[in-house]
Amino acid sequence: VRLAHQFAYESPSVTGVMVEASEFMELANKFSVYGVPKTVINDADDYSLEGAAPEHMLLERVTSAISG
Amino acid sequence: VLISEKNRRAIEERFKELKSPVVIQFFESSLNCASCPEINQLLRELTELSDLLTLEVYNVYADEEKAKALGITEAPVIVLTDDTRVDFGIRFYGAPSGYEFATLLEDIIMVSEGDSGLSDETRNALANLQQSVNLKVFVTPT
Repeated sequence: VRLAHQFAYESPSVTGVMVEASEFMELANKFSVYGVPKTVINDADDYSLEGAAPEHMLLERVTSAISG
Repeated sequence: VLISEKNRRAIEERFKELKSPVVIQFFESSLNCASCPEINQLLRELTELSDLLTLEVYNVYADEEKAKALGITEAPVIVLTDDTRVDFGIRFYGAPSGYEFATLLEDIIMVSEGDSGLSDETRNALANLQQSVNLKVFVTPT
């Protein structure tokens, strides 16, 4: 979560949202969250990341997600 | 009291690093939000630990306009801004407990110091983003 918030702070284009899965169960179900942490990019499961991701990996996923 | 005396002192020590004001906006609801009173109390105790911190509590329904402007339709949600209310896109949906409480503290220090702490490579790449990006990080209480 910390890294997502750093990305958000750095860029006006990025929003970083921590979602507490047991409190926002509908959202967690929608994105098939079975393990945490799970990072979902632009509400699409194609580029989601499971487990804690280092900075370069999250950046790589973000750039792949927006380039299609 | 949710924050122990020992933790209170440790946090006060860390908050000595704070440089500029940080505003914590908390969107609560009196309906279907069992954790709201506790989160409210936690944030109240936290913001008492530095003069540079302010807590603003809104009702997600009664303050609908304010909530909608930030894209918030549910509670509990925490938004971190500076004193000019710039929305950086930093959100917590649900309680920042355990490990995520540490995230909240680090976020407060980041906003106050005005530095994301990211590498130059990441900063450059993010500066060139052509589209908006929404990152949702799902966690469970630890």
